[in-house]
Amino acid sequence: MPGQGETEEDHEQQKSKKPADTAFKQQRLPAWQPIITANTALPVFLIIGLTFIPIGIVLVITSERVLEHDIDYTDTNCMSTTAANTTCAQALENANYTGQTCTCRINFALDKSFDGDVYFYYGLINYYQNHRRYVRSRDDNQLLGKEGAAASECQPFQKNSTGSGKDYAPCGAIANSKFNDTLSLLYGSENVSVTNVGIAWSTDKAVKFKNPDNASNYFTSTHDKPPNWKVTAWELDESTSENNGYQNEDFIVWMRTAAMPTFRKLYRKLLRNSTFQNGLPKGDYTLVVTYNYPVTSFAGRKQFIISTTSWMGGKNPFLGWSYIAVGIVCMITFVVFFILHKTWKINNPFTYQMASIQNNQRITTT
Amino acid sequence: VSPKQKAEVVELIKRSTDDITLAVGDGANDVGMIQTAHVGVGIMGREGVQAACASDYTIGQFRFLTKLLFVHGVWSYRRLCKVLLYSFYKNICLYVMELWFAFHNGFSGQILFERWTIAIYNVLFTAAPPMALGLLDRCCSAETMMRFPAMYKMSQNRSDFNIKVFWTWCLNAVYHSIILYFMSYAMLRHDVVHSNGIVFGSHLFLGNCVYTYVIFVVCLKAGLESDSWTFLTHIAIWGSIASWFLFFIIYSNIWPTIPLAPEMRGMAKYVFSSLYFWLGLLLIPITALLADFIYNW
Repeated sequence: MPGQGETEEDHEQQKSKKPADTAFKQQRLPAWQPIITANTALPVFLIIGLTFIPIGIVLVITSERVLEHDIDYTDTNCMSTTAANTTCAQALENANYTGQTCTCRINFALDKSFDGDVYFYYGLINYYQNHRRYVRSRDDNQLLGKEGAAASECQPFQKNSTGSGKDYAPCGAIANSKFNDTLSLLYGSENVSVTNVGIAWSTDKAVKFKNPDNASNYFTSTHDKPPNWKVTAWELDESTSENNGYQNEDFIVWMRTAAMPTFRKLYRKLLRNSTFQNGLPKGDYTLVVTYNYPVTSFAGRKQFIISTTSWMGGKNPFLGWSYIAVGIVCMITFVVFFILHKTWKINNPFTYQMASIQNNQRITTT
Repeated sequence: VSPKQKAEVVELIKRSTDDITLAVGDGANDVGMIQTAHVGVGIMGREGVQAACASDYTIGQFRFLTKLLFVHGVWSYRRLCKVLLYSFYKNICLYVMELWFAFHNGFSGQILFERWTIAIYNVLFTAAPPMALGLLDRCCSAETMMRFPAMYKMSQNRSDFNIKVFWTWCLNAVYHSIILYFMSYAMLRHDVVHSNGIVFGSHLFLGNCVYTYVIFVVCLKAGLESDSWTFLTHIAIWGSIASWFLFFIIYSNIWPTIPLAPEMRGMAKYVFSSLYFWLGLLLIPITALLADFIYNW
């Protein structure tokens, strides 16, 4: 390091302190300096407009083709078959929500045939599955079938502290509030064939939810069923033995907490055999409801939804209309600025020339 | 002239005007004035290193002072302003969305995004663009700046960072967050975004879609604000976007092998297999940046 009192010869013999002369260190990196001019911006708007509007039209048409039929069966539609002049909602309330059940039959007609695959959903309104305390009230280790006590996040649905002291399986508020209405469809007098296989996320069923060893003993004796459940997890599906415990697909679907307070969940899929080979034919149907799930106390509503799908998904024209709207905005911008650009060019020919010369020069570094 | 006298001259100027002072010197007797001035420049060389050690900036010869001021000074001012404004912008854009989501979850405090993706936002996915802006951005070439010294004026009148500019950027961030959140919300409201009828059912699905769109908008905004794109700028912008996709794919597959993020398992598979996500990716960031593009034009 050159210090005081050194001679010039010593100075030259020292290593040079000059910083490295690379493009990066000397701020000489070649660069593209984009200057947005009329010649570059106007085509952008034109292209966006010309691509978005057709895309939007296709999306809107696709969405219009999806057929959907909703039946709200919360109260007035669903009259109890046993008690006279009472809705099922009323019947549950009268019994003080002590696990009373109620059945009702709702007649409706499909005025168009639903061709192709048909999906049956139950919908809930004003139901906040996205509430923070609710979302965290689960134990994912327990759902993997692992040994150990239920997590404390499940409280107050962690264990049966007032009764047997056993842990709830499954624990937590999400599991406890599992939807337990049964909905089935009759076409005239014929049962509409449905399946409950393949309604959950395949990754959930394969990886996240596993039954513990010795499951029957686990669910029926060493652990309690959640307080609001009518049966234990091992008895959820009498007809298919693999669809029980944590692997029950209705349970898995329920455990995926919905994003919004109005949501639907996949309940069943149409099994396309005999009469229903091409879908749901047009005609009269009856919805048979076993009404177990009380929602009126918090002004919630329940729906049964029949829907086909398109190559995109369910019925939602929003995306299509947005594409059209943005496309139109771009086209209007293009037209307006094109006119402005041309008139300015006519009125100020010299300035326009100078500006375009300057703009077209790429300012690169040497 | 003694060191103390030199320092006192600088002090006099500082006290009687509002101006920013700069002192340049090369000897031990300049140390006082270099330290008193707002900006001290030391010349490293014949008379030793004391001046250089006491200074804010060190140059090799007196004539380099013009380049220091007219080129690096202006560049530095513009870069700093951009980095500051951009940092506020990108954070406001993402986190204000929790407020919009609160309207839909009963104000319960539920977050829309998964907690580690939020934490890594500033560390990994949006760290490179401000660095590219701050290190490499050049409004004009060095030759132009030296040829037209009057351009120095543009860094002297608070044009790039003042109250109006700051609040404009903040409002811009809020505007972007509104478009990004509410358009995604409307797009995904009906729950069925796959052709096989499956319900996507999870606020994280919405969250991850929105998060991807935010990364796109925020990184492209850095590009829009950039006056010069070097290859490193390209890497910063496209690389950040790619790093999010990579992280998302990996993070969606670690549970239960690693006891972390059970709610993310399978997310990448279902998000990427949904056409709504991709169509939204084409539409929503472009919609958000349209106004910015026109403004920059």
